Amino acid sequence: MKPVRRARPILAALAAAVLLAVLTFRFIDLRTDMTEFLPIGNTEAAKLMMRELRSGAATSIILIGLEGAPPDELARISQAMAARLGASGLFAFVGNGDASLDPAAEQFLFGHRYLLSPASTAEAFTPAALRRDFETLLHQLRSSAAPLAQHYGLADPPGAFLAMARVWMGESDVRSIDGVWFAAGRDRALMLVRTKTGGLDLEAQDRADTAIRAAFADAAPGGARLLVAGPAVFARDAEYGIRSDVRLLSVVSTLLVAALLLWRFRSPLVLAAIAVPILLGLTAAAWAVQVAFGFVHAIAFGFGMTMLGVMVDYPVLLIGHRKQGEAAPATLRRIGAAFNLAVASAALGLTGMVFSGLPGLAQIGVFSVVGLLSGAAATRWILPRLIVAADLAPVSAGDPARLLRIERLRDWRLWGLLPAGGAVVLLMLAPPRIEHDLANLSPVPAGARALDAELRAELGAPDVGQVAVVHGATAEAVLRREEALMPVLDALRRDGVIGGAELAARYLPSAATQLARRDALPDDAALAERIAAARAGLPFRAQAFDEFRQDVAASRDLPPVQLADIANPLILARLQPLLFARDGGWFGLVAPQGVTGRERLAAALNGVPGVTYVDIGAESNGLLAETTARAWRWLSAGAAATLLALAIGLRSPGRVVRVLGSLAAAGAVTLAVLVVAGERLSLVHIVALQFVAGVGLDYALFFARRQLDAEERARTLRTLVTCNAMTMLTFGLLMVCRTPLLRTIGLPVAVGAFSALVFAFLFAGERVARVSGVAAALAPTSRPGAAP
Amino acid sequence: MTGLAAIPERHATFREEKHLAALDVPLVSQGWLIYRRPAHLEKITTAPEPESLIVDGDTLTLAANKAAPQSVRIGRHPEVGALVDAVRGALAGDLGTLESHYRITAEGRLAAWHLVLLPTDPGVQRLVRVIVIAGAGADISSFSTVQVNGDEDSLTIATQQ
Repeated sequence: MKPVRRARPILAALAAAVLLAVLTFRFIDLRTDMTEFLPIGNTEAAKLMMRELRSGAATSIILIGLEGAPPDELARISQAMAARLGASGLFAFVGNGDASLDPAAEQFLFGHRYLLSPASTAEAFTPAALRRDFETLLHQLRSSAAPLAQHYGLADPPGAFLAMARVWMGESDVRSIDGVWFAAGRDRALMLVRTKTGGLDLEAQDRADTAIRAAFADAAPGGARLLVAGPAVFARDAEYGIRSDVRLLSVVSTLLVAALLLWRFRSPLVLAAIAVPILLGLTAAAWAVQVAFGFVHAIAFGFGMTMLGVMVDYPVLLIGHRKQGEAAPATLRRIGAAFNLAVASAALGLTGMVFSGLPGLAQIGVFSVVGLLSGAAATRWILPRLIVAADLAPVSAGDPARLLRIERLRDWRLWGLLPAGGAVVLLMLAPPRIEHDLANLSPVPAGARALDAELRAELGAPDVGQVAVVHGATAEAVLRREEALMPVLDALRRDGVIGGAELAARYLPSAATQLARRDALPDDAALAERIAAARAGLPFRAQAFDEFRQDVAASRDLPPVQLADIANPLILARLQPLLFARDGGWFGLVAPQGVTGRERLAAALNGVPGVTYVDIGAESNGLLAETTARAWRWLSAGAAATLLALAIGLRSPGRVVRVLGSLAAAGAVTLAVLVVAGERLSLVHIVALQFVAGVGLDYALFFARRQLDAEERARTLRTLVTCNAMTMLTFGLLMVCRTPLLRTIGLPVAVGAFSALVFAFLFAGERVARVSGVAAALAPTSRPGAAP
Repeated sequence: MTGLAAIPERHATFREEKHLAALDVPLVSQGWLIYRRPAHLEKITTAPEPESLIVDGDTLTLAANKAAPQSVRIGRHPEVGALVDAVRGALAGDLGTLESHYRITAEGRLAAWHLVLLPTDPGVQRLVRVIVIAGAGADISSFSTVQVNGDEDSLTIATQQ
């Protein structure tokens, strides 16, 4: 046959596989956002909260810190930035200090003060109360604060507006220099901005980020540093991290694997043949994930690409073990049992991931398991015909004398117990620390989360540790329930259980409350009479309170303010995160600040009708504990199934012990490395270890095959070293990823794969008999296996 | 102006009269004024309600009888800045400061002069119609502000030797 004609089936198969893959990746929904990557919670309220926190209005907050310069300088930069950002039109809210209401917001609130203000009570309009107000007013007019008193006091003697303004401006105890917020303990200026679009609109977040950095640069910051945090910033960073990781993994791992295979087989045709089952495997995996989850997360795809390093083992094992000119069934007969077991064990090694209950990890698991199985199936049933047609095989099995020298290493294999034993001792002395905090599994790096928590605490912004969700059929129902809750919260605040609480009803009372206030307002004639009585003996002229009278009269005709009536962006920016409609109902969030007594807070809020209290930290960590327990169960099930497969496949207790022993040694060494590296053992490590066990079995099984001649053993060794190198290279790549989850998987898998190969070679393979070693190695005939 | 600029520290008593549209009697108060070059000013009201207003550099601190002192940065409130600079600029003899906020006309002779200040900043124009500063030689004798609504505030000053 001419080379071109021999190559034709392979090239045709490759073209078909490429076409299928291209079509598939055009069709599937590849996502990079990080919502839905962590578990969503058990209760309805928890689910709502988690969704809201990850994709709702809360994600539009950006926290900014400025440090590294004298306070005066930082205050100046903060002012300059606030002016720039406010003018940019990208932000619904820009706050950098003593909050002031913009003129439009002030006008709106002033106009509705007798409906909205907590100081608008029937009692406030009695002659006695008015008399006290007038006396205070006179006192203020005498003082240097007279301009303020004239401006607000004459039109509003009961102080309804100022009482409301105090609520709106927030009684924050944030330290302030030159009117600019500063952190309490250090020279760090603080700003809080809210983008107009949600935090998940990547392009809008890019523009916001550019605007913030440009505003900082234009403020001539000198040596000052800019710190930026917040859900939107995380989402953006995580998304860019994921994108760059996926690029890195898919391009570099493909190049590395291809280069290694080219070097090993010195044939582009082999490369083409190997690509066929891989592409088919990836295509099937992408479909499976798309069908099971409705979309494919880029992290799963990226990890799937590193699975190349494992998937590629199967075609490599087949081609690497083929003798030149051999018919396909003959190769399969020699390696078939080990091949099947290897595929089964690798697939079983992924049970922990698939059933972990963490949506992201489950996707990775499904992608990998389907990729492995379909890649192996394609290797088993399609590849043999292709390689026989093209007569692909290794150039040579390798130099038997060299093989012998390498195999002689097994004479010292007891020394191999040393690192394994050392690892076990180390693990007993310093048991791995277990990760209990779900947040540490998030795609957001720990440093960024710490900065966010720090800025939030310094700003007194509600942290998202505890929250109560108030549910109702309408916004009005939610507001009424919140009003019923306010005395409870005020009592908790007095007792020091919480520092305060943000909730919509503080800003926007229910229509019922507003109507009650409206009905309590005196009519104009009555008010005129009361004013006259109250000012008797005071130097106020009769017309001094005309504006007050007009405003009260106008308020008696005002319809109650409802969320839909509010157009002012500043007011909306405050209300929208606290009161919103979802899934046909209305929800209000009550966000306590400075919580010191979680139990008392929970006790006070639990059981109130329509109110659900969620301790998000406890909820997520409970979820993590549950997921981890589930992963352990599935891991045990996977391990038991693997054991059964091994017992059936190997049919020899001695071999089973040696195969498992080498695996256990590799596991101990990997765990020890993780401990030394200071990693906290998390769910991710557990499933990564299980995965590495599945892959590691592959090596042990091939070394443990019976009745091998030297040439076949040489083929096995060379092939396995190739497979291992590919696994190490691709999983090693994970360690340089930006996405923490991928990095976490990278270390145990790379270390585990390498130690699995070493221990499998030492323990699972048979020791070469001393006397007949050379003869046996050189003899082309098979040699009965001798147990050591 | 040069005469004003030569004096490093001044102590004076003041009597303030506020004529407000809302009231049918003027509000009268009195106390001390202390000015120290270049930017320190104290207005200590002793009667009828004790109060202290201290301007130091960019900070204005107001302390009334019982309430905690409140500080504001003048730089953040241009209207307050213009009024403070009118007083400080006059006491310091710093025509440049005055001219940055007001159009100034000087009238009279050295023994009895007055300066008429018309605000140029639109924010200040909304509040203040005119400020008239009167004096004799190196001393300022009165300081009157007429607001846009007709309210008038006049500070009569007697310098302590």
